[in-house]
This record gives sequence, structure tokens and C-alpha cells, in this order.
Amino acid sequence: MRVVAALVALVVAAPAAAGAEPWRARVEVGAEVDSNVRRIAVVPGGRRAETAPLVRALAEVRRAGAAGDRTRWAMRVSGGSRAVVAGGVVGEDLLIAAVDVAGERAGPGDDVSALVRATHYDVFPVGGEHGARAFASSGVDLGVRLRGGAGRTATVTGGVRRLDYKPDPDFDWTGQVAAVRVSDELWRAADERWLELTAGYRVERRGYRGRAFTDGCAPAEPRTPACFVPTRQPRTDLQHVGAVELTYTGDAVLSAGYQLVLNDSASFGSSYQRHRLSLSVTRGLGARWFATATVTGQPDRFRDPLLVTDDLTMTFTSIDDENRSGAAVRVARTLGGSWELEARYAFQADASGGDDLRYRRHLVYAGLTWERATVDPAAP
Amino acid sequence: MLFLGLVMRASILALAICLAGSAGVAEAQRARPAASRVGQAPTPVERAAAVVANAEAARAQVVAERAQLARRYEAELAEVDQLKRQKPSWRRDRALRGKLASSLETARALDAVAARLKRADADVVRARAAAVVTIDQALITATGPRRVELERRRRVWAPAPAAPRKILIPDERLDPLADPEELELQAAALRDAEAELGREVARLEQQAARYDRMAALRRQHERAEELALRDESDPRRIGTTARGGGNEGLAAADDGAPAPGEHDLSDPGLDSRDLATALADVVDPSTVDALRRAERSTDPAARAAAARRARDAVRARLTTMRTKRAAIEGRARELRAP
Repeated sequence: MRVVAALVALVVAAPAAAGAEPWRARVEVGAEVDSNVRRIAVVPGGRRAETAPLVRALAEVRRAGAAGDRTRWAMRVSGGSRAVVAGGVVGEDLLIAAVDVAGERAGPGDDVSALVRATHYDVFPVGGEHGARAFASSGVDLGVRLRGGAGRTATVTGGVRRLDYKPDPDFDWTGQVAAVRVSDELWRAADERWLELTAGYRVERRGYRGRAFTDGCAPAEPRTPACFVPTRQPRTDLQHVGAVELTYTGDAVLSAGYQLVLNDSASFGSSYQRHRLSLSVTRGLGARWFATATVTGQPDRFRDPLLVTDDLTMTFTSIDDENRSGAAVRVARTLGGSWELEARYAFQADASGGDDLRYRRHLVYAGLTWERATVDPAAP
Repeated sequence: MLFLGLVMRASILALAICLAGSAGVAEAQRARPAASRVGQAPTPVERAAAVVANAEAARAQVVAERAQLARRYEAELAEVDQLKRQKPSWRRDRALRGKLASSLETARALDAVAARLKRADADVVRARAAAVVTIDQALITATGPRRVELERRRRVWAPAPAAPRKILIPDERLDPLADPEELELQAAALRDAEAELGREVARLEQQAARYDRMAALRRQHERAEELALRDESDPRRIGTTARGGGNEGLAAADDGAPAPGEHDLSDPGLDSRDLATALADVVDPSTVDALRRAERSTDPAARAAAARRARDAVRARLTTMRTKRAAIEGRARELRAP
């Protein structure tokens, strides 16, 4: 936390002589009611989903600058917290700290620029318990950005990444990543409406600290934890992520996105295929009101049966696929100056309606945001 | 009797002439259908082509007239400069007044020709547009060489995209040797330029406001996506010490960690190269430079920022121009004062 505070001080006090440009600060607080705070799928007669009221808070500072004519930098530091304020739910309180630093140096002609980026994202459990969501993720990337005309860009990056999963070091991994992203403006009308396409592909090779498992059971046998037999080999995963998104900007913003994730693991039970489709529309309602409606569908398919355990009944459920679908509505109103009020309702469910497992979740959130930027709010 | 004979001969002669004329007309009439069978009546495309040709010829005439007037004006200005360098005398002053009056007349004639040229340009554009419509109708049924020819004509007449028009700033320097008439002409040109810059400021203001609205929508859209990420919608597996559920909690790690996507450091940009071209002589080079890079940005907030930057630069230029025009007008009044 002292490191985070030092970084915040650095961002805020960055000398003007370095060519610092606009900065932006944001603080948000909100209250939320989560009907399934542990996000579990339940079996009939087994453990029940828990409802809990929470509070969230987040602070973020961004700063950008230039060093010379061709080099630009940007830094973002953020910190936040989430805490359950009533009831008997434990292990869901956490603190978050993140830092993101990027630099770009333009080549001759401004059509090509070199990129560098370093990130760190840390989730600290509160209360002396290692919550299942506590982890730390770091990465360094180098890349190249190519610019064409009319909003056309292509970015190629390569780097290294590391994840520390605090509850269980066997899930820590280090690996290499390569990514390419292309964006283009497909169409623009005379009255400045336009349609953009963004497509990207990322591949990550992850070397885990823990060992890979093999299937120790016969094909006809029911799946139990005993089927997972550890080997001497470390677990390695190769993850492919492809995504495409169309965004229309005009009097409303509409986006349609599709993402495909293929996780090919050397460890039995860890390979999966995920499709994610999302549709979203944002519109102004007048009098500084805005509304966004989002629909998401996410079917997962597991190459090997996935074991889901219930520690209350000590039973195991084996599933081959899973579905997470949802809908959300958010409304917001700018209050003048730097303040904004927002409210959000989200519903998530296992749309497959399988008999063995049931997943339902309702989220209601209301919050207040303060944001201030100097000169140009468009600065990164 | 003699007179009656003359009258009769004249009548017969007149009758013969009439009959010959009728025969000629009949001949011509008989011939015309034959001619219309051999040389066809002009098609709608040909009639449209004739209209375009006439409009272009008229325009060419106005252009030639303008070039002639421009040469004459340059010559008269050169003579005025030469006279001003001479030693002041009554004869010189009289000659100078005459030449100034003549050059003023020529300048007014140039203005009138410019207005006629504008109308001639509009006539050409209208004629060409009508011709393109006619060609489009003919293309529906045209085939072979006829189609090729129609398409060639269409390419020639189809209206070209409007070229960016540069805003030209007249000379703002106050010439201490200038006469009141010259100063007043200069002030009038500056007023025209101010009006154009004023329109540009208004247009940039509207553009910035529109982009601001779009930027607000985008921010709200992205905020909704950000909140959705915080849902951590991947389910939690309540596992035992068995490591079978390999995705336990890690999906959240994957989703919560910053994605290795773009970190946009692109400069705020202009929304069209046309604007940069139009303002190239109006605002400072760094603003023009930023404007030229603008078309690379699809971020409405960046475009709004560029439009505001350009608006502020044009507004500053306008203020400077007004100050200088006021000085020029003041000098002209001073020279005219008795």
C-alpha cells in the first residue's frame, strides 16, 4: 500500500517541466445488494446462495505527458475496496490496487510508433482470510502501432505476464503473450455518424507452478476427485482469445461483440471453450439522463468433465458445459460540474436450465462518481 | 393597257415565285422526313450535352474576360505605384487621381465578373448534374459501345467531390503611403474575411458540441462495460482440496487483470483534412498539424477537443484581424478628414 501511495504522489506531482499534459482524477462510491455474493451454482438441497449488501469505493488518477516531440507517456494509478456491511458473509472483503504505465514513441512520419507498457493489478483479501478472488497479476509488453488514414490502426504486442493466485500457489503461472489488434472505421456519414470495427487475437502460453493431472478413471466411471491423478509434469496451458466488435456512434451508441476463448491445457479437466456474445445500446434520455441496456450470452464447453463440488453435502456434480447469460440496465444522470449519479440492475442465470445445477444472481447497485480533469478530458 | 400588262406579268411572276417557293418547301418537307430517317433527331443525352457545352462555353468566355480585366488591373496598379514614386506635383497628383479612379473602376468590374463567373459555374454544375441524370436513365438500356461512351461522358460530368477551400487572409498591414480609397478597399476585403472566419467559428462550435454529445454517450457506454466487468460473472466453484476444478477463481483473475489491449496515446485529432486545408493560413502550424492527424482518431472526445482548439485559434485570429481593420479604417478616415 505504501508503494501505491508513492505512485499516486508521483502521478499527482509529476513535474510540469517534463511536458505533463492533462490529468484526470475520479472517485466513486456505491452500495450494492448481491443475491449470490459467492457466485456459486447450487444443487437442490445443497448449499444455498447468500445475499449480502456491500459497499464499493474506488479512486483513480491518470496523467499523461510528452517527452520531446515524438515521445508520449501515460500513467494510471487506482485503488479500491469492496466490503460486506451486514450479514454473516466472510471472505468477500477485499482491497484492489492497480498501476498502468505506457509509453509511445512515434517514428518518422507518425505512421509507426513503438509501444511499451507495464501493468500490475493486486487484490488483497481483508480479514486475514484468503478469499477465492485474491490474486496479483503483472505484465510487461512491447509493441508497434501502425496508423493508416480514417481511424485505421493495427497494434502488435508481445510480452510476459505473471499471475499469483494467493489462495493456492499451484495456480500461479508465468508466461509469454502475443497479441494483434486491428481497428478500422468502416463507414462515416456526412453528419458525423460512424461505424467502427475492432478485431483482435491474443495467445498466451502459461507455465503453472502446480503439476498437471491426468485422468485416472475409466471412461465409463463416474467422475470424482480421485480421477484426477497428478503427474510429474508441470501444468502448461495455451490460451487463444479472438474477439471482434462492431460499434456504431451517432445519436446512440450500439455495440455488438463476440469473443471466443480456447484454453488448451496439458492438465486433465482444465481445457475449455468459451463463446461470449454481447449486445449493448446507450442512449441519451434528455435532461442529462443516460441509459444503457446490455444482453450477454456465454456458453462454456469443457473438453473434460468439470467437477463442481458442494462442501455442504460433500457431493460432486460433473458437467460438460455451462451457460452464463445475463441482462443489465444502467441509468445515470450528470449532476452538473463533476458529479454523476448512477444506478444499475443486472440479472445473471444459467440459461441452459440444467437440473443438476442452478445459477441465479441479482445485482442492484447505486453510486455516486466525482471526476475532474484539467483542460482536456479526452487525455488518456 | 401597258400598265395592266405590267401588272399581269408581275402577278404571274409573283405567282411563279410563290409556286416555286412552295415546291421548294414541299421539296424540303419531303426531304426532311428523309433526312430525319437518315440523321436521327437529337437524343436526350445529346440535348443535355449541348446544354453542358453551351454553359461551359459561356463560362470560358467569362473566364477570358476576367483574365483580361485582371491583367488590366495589374497594369493600372503598377502605373499607380510608379506615379507614387515620382516627385509630388500638380501634374502628378492629377494623373494619380485619374489612375486611382480607373483602377477602382477596374476593381469593381472584376467584382462584377467574379459574380458572373460564380453564376456561370453554377450553370455548368446544374447542366452537368442534369446531364448525369439523363445518362443514368439512358444507361438502363444501353449496351456495347454506346454504354462505354455514356459511361465515359458520365465520368467527365459527374460532380467531383468538393475540394477544400482555403480561407485566404487579405493583407492586414497598414501601408502608410496608401490612399483612402485603397485603405477602404483593404478594409472591405478584411470585413469579408472576418465574416468567413466568423462562420468558421460557428461551424466549429457546432461540431465541437456534436462531438461532445457523442463523447458523453461513449463514456456512458464504456462505463456500463466497466461495471459489467466488476460483476465477476464467472461462477465460483466451492471446491475441496481436490484440484479438479482448474478454473476455480482464476476466471476472475483473468477478467480482473488489465487486458493487454490498447493504451491510447494518440494525439487529439481533427475531424477532416478539409478543415486543416481551409485553416492552413489562419491558425498556427501546430494547430494545423494536430488537425491533419485528426482523421486517424475515432474518439469523439479527441475530435471535440480538436474542434475547440481550432475554434479558439480562429477566434483569436478574428480578434487580431478586427483590430487591424479598425486601424486601417481609422487611417482612412484620418486621410479623408479636411
